[in-house]
Formats: sequence, structure tokens, C-alpha cells
Amino acid sequence: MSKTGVFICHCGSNIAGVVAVEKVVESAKTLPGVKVAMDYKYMCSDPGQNLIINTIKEQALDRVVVGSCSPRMHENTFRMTIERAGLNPYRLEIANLREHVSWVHSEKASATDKAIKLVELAVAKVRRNEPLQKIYAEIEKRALVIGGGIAGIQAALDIAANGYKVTLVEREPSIGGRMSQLDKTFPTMDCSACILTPKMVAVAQNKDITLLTYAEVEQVHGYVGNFEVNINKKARFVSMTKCIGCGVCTEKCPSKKRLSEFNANIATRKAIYTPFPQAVPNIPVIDKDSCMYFATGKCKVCEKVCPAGAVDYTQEDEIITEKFGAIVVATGYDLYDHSSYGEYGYGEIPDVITGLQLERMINSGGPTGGHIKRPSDGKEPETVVFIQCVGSRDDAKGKPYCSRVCCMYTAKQALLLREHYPNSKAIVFYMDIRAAGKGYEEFIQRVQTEYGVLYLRGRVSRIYEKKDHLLVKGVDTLSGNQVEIKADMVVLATGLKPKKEAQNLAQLLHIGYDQNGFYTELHPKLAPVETQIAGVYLAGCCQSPKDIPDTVAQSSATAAKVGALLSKERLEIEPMISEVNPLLCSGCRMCYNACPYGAIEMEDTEIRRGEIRCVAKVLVSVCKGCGVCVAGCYCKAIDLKGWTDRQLMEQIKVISYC
Amino acid sequence: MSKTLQETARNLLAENKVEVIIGYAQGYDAFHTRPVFISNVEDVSKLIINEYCTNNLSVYLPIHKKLKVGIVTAKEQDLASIHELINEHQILEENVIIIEAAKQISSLSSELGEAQRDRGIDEEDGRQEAWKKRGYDMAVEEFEKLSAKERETFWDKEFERCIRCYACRQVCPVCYCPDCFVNRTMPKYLNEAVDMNKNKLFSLVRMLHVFGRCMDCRACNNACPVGIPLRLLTKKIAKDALELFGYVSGQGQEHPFSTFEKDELLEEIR
Repeated sequence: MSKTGVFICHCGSNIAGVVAVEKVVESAKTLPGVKVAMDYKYMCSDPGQNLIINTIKEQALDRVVVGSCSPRMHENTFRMTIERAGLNPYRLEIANLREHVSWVHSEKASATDKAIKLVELAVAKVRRNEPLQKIYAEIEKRALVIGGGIAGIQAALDIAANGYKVTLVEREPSIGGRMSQLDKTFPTMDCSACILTPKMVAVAQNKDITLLTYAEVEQVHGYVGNFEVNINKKARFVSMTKCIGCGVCTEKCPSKKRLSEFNANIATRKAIYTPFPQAVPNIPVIDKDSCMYFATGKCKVCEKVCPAGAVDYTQEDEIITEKFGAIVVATGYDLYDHSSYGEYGYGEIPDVITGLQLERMINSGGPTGGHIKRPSDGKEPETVVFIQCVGSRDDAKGKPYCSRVCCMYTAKQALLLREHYPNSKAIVFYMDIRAAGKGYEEFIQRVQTEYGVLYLRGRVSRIYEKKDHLLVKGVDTLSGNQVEIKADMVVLATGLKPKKEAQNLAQLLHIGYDQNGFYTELHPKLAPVETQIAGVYLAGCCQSPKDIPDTVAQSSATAAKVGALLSKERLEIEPMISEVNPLLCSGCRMCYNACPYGAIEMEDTEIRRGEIRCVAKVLVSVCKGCGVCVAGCYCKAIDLKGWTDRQLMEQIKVISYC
Repeated sequence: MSKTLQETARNLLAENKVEVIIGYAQGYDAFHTRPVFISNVEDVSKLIINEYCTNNLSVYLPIHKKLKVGIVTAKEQDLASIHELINEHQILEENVIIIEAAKQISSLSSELGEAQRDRGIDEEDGRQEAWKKRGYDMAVEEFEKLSAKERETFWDKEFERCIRCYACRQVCPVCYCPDCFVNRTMPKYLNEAVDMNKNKLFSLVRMLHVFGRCMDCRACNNACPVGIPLRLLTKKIAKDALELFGYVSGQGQEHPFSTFEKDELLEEIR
């Protein structure tokens, strides 16, 4: 007879507030195989764990059931606890009395009944538990960073600084991301490029970092420590080795109609281009869609003018397959498209621009040479109205969250405007000002007092196009007055949203995303950079909107996690995987065909003396324990360790004897 | 017809193309046949083929996996069974020579089910009547229209009679598991006691296990000594396999269980 110990946790009042814990303990004592049952206020605390350890030793227990929170939370904790007491860590079952009982039920009597039943089920299951041995696998000591913005750059640099090889994949022709589009950074007002470009160069020069620009991740297989990733290196049509980055091709290219993505569509670019002069690598790409040669078969100007003979129209997409131990996702954000806002002109009024467009104007390297000009007539604006929370905190537009950076970048842009044109007027419509970072509140105050930017608390109801100006109608909710402002330009502080393709990548990696499309971290507080897929980590705005300091901090945190993973000599794998009983296997290959991980192998095996049959075999390090093979095996020859049919039948017997 | 068959069989054996021929021989009366295994040329004359050849002989193939076998198929489903067994790697394609008696008696091949039922009337007057009353003749579509309660009552009544002899399992060509789940003791999925619920559970679980693999060959239906209309169930799973997954067993299609695609939506497979 097994000697099971049952330990019921109060979880403060989380469980005990709804479940009558003492009744659960009393009922557990009567169950077959239970030697001892007790409760404690916090079983996961140090005294709680010691209670378990001491009881195991005193009562010579061989199995343990803990009635507590979800196994996702503390199964590992308690496994280690019973291991410390000398038991096999897998001789443990958790009855989830918090998420499955106390948090979802309020009726005390029936909640207690359910808790009693769940404990009974766990006791039945643990009775047929087998001791499992840990499995170890090799770790590929290289990391993949997806996204070459400031988040990806920082993560790659930090991982490389830890001494591991990194591959940085960027979809655009150059790394740099959103930060390279910005002019100044709040609240210190240091120049964005001045602090970013050295890091970009550092990436290019670091011998431990392989930089793959104009490339995308296509497929991901494998598991923590052993990911196999297919990366599509899109055809650049320019040889990376031959190009010297002189820029003659771009200068001479006759195709110049395409709007520049880098300049937020306020300028055009050529068909062969580098996004910006400080691009890393400084090697242009040919955009096939706008290139005349690819459209008509004639032109070839760039090939003719290239002094290095680097242009090669025959290049094709190349798919490379590489192995990585860890993956960092740093795909960043897109800006909210304000064309869904009728009150702001559906994005059709030329002088209503986005913050990023203004940013490109203010930037001395931008298309206007650092001067703010109205897109409609090129005049210098005198009165500029800034509107905050466009596509943020707006349930009606399906964007309930705060984008966190708009308050600050609006203040920064107002300041830059006032500095550039001292005679100009800046008026900001805001809902609330959220300036919680270090030095942020002081910055806002400075913008209001020193630079005389007028802040109006309220919303804009409509923007009218008049002859040579815009009429902005809104309400100042502090005074309660309707306001009408004659403005030359309106700047919308558009919010942040996940990249359009973020969900596709999430499906490739099997990581989760929330209702807004941002990737979900493993735990909002205690595991903010991990995902539910071991070995996949998050950095930057793909997880939630954040500013540069937070992004950099998170990227370094991610790098630390990657370092901790890669520094291990070998990797522990959960032993809860499938197992085939060759005696029962008919060799029908149902499991072999169904396994999504390719973890089943068919092998001629001597199952009895003299009887050789082709039966299934599980590849230990490939199996993820998903259980598809178990469901498909009509011979019932496959069992999932830790979830065997024997255990489940015991539980079914508890619910209804059959 | 039997003469042609005997001639084919004699040649195969004489030319050493096969080591054994699985076919039909005369049973205890003119209306019955029984399986026969022939390895000597002299015994070839025992082979017969007629409208009473209803058993699905492919059930004997897996146990003769290592031999070169000639097998007589009397109906199309028998042929499909053999293909299914090849698909499921239970027999080797090169080891099996199929003697398609079904083609030689093509006019009979689709009528054999009827023949089987006619035999029922000969044996026991009024049995067909009783079967009709119990819904044996009901089409699956009609049966699906009944309410859940009515269907439950129907099957409860049917499985009340089941004696758990497992004849249905024994004659089923795809029930070749080395150890059937009902025989297991660790864990014990089903205990030995014969009662309606367990009888029903056994048959329904068997249906789940043969889903997408059952050829609707009627062997279980015909073997049942208490006349449970298992055909209704096999017709239903064949229909479901076709409607839900576009799958017909025994055609060499990939089994629906292993063809899931990422963009396959749950709504599509209902």
C-alpha cells in the first residue's frame, strides 16, 4: 500500500476564504493509501516546505499530494521540495484548489465538496505514479534575435558580451528600427542617432554577431536548446561582398516615385536604396516592385554605374537553416493608422500629420532638412495643435491600452517646435498626462512653463479644412468652454500597435499573444521576459508599448536570461514524454504519421525471443509530451509518462466506478 | 464459377507463387460456407464460391504475414480490407495475391448482403420482421433524425442482449491489436461483468478505434449471434469519415488523424 501525504494550503485566505480546509483534510485522511493529511497557511513558504519535508521523513511517505494553486505556479517548487526530502520529484500530484475552486466559486459548501473531490482524484492518480528520471539534452550555444531595432541590437550586444554567438535577423535593409527614425529622445533631448548609431556599428563589428538584414524567419522547429530555424534571406540584387556603399546607384536610379517608409511617407525614395545614410550595413537593396528593370525588362542603370560591379539581377531568395539554443523576439511595433478617425479627417487632410512624420521633418537628416513645413504648401506653421491618445485608450477603436510614449513624445515635439520657431504657438489636447518615468514630470513642467506650450484638457471634436488654415474645434473640459483654434498644422500622437505580422511569428514560435496582439510574457511580474515556450524570450515593444529606457532595460534582462540558459552544460528535459510498449504495438504507424514533432521512429525490434516486429519508438529528446500519439494509438500501446492510462483509470474510478 | 476459381488456385500453388490459399469451403449445409486454408494442390477441389461466401477472409492475413498468400475475395469491401491492412503495414503487399472472385461473380458481389439476410428468413421465420421492428433496416440518415433519448433507448435495448462473446472483434480484419483493450488488466479498462452499459461501452469504443479504418464489410454484423445491428454503427462511422474529413477507408488516402493543417479550422470539421 502506498503511503501518501496530503498537504492542503490555505494560500492565505485565497483558498481558505472559500474552501473549508479542515473538512478537506478530514476527508483526505479517510482515503485509501493516505497516511497523513494536514494543512498550513502558506505551503510554498519556507516553513510550509519544511513541514512537507519533515513529515515525509517522519512518516516515511512515498508519495505526496499538495492541494494548492495551479501546478503551473508551484508544481516545480513542490517537486524540488520532495526531492530534498529524498523522494523522486515526480511522485507528486497537485490538486488545484485555487484557480479551479476558490477563485471561480463563491458558494462555500459546494466549493468544499469540489475541493474534496479534486484531492481524492489527485490521491487516486498519485497512487499509480511512477518514479521518473530526468532526461538531459545538449544545448546549441547560439542565440537568434529576431528584429534589429534598439531592443534587438541591445539584446544581441549583451548576449555577445556574455560570450555567445548571436544571429541578428532584421526584415528591413538596415538595422536601427524605429529609434533610427527619431530626432531627439525625451527627456534628456539627446540626439537619437548619436546614441543609436554607435550601437549599430558595434553590432556590425562584433565578431560574435552575425547580421542578417533583409531576411525573415520562415519556420521554427525543435525545442529549447535545439531550435532549428529556416531564415529566408531575401534577394537584395546587390552583392554584399562586392558593394562599397558609394551610393552612385541610388543617385542615378530613375525610378523615384515610391514613398519612403523610413521618412514616414512624407518623401519619396528610389527603387535601389538604403533606408538612411547611416544604414548598417550600408549596402542598398533593389525593391523589385518599384524597379523599372523588373517591371519592363529595360533600364539596368544601376548595373551600368556601379563601379564595383555589385548589382546582380539574378539573385534569388536563399533559405538558410541554422540551429539555435535560444530565440529572442524583438519585433517592435507599428503606428496606429489614424484613417479610422473621422473627426481628424480620415487621414485625408494633408496638414494633419502623425508624430512620426513631424519627427522626420524636425530631423536635420530628414527630407525637409530639419525645417517643419506644412505638407500642403511648404509654409512654416505658426500655430500647431497636438492631439494625444489617437488610437490609444480608445475602446471604440479597439485600442483600450495606453501607448505610454505619446504624452512624452508630444511634449518633446512641442518643445522642438518652439525651439525651432520661437514665434510659433503649440497647443496640446490631452486626456491625462502620464509622465511616470525618471525626470519625465519635470520635463513636462519645463515644456509648459519655460517653453509656453499650452495644454488643454479635452478632446477635439472635428478638424475643418479652411482656405489656408485648419479650424480645430474642441472642448476644454477644465473650463467647460468650447474652443475653436485656427491652426496651421495638426500633429496626431498616434499610438503603438503590434507589427502586422506579429501573429504569424507567434504561431511559428507557438508563443501566445493578448487580445491587443502583444506577445504575452510567462508571468507579468515574476517572468516578464520569458514566454510559455521555454527558450523563447521577449524584448521591447512586441511585448507591450514602452519607451527606449524600458526597452533597453528589458533587452538586457532578456540577454541575461539567454546567458543563463546557454551557460548550462546540458539541458534538463521534462521526462513526461511518451513511451511505447513494443509488446502491444501493432506497427500500424498511426503515431508515426500523426506526431507533429517527428519524434516517432519505426524500428525492427525483437519483442519476444525470436519474434522481430517493426514497432514504434519514441525519440526521447524530440518528444514534447503532447500526447497526440496516445490519442491515435488504438492498440493502446503508447502511454504518456506521468499521465498513464493506469493513472487516469484510477481517477475515472473515483468519479464513477466502472 | 467454382471451377474457374479452383483452376486459378491450382496454378498458383503449382507454380509456387503462393504457399497457402485462403478461400471458402462448403459449410455444414448448402447455405453456409466456412474458411479453408489450402496448401496442397490435391485440396484445391474444396474451394467454392457462391452467394453464401460472406465472411471477410482478410482477417486471416496478418497472422500469415510471413507467408506468400493467395486470398479469395468475394466482395468489394474484402478487397478494401486488404488494401487497408497494407496501408497499416500489417501485411506486405508483395506477399499477397488477390483472387478476385467478386469479379467472376460480379452480379452477386453487391447482392451478397441481401443473400445473408435472406438466409436469416430461411432459418427463422419472422426474424426479418423482428429486425425491421428493431430498426435494423433503418438508414443512417433516418436514425440520425431520432432524438438523443430515442437513440439511447434503442441501443440500450440492443446491447441488453449482447453476451460479450467478442465475435464481432474476432472477425474484424482491422481488429488486429496484439492485445485488445478489453483484455487488459493493467489498467483494467472494462471488467468482465456482462451488463448493458459495459457491453455498449465495448462496442462504442471498438467503433472509435476502427473509425476511418472500417470498410463496412459487415463481418461483425453477420457474426453477431444475438443479431445486434452493428451495421448501423459501421455505416454511421463510414458516413462521418466521408462527410467530416472527405475520407474513404481502404483507398490508400492518408488517415485524417495525421493530416491536420495549421489553417484547418475547427468549424470546418464541425
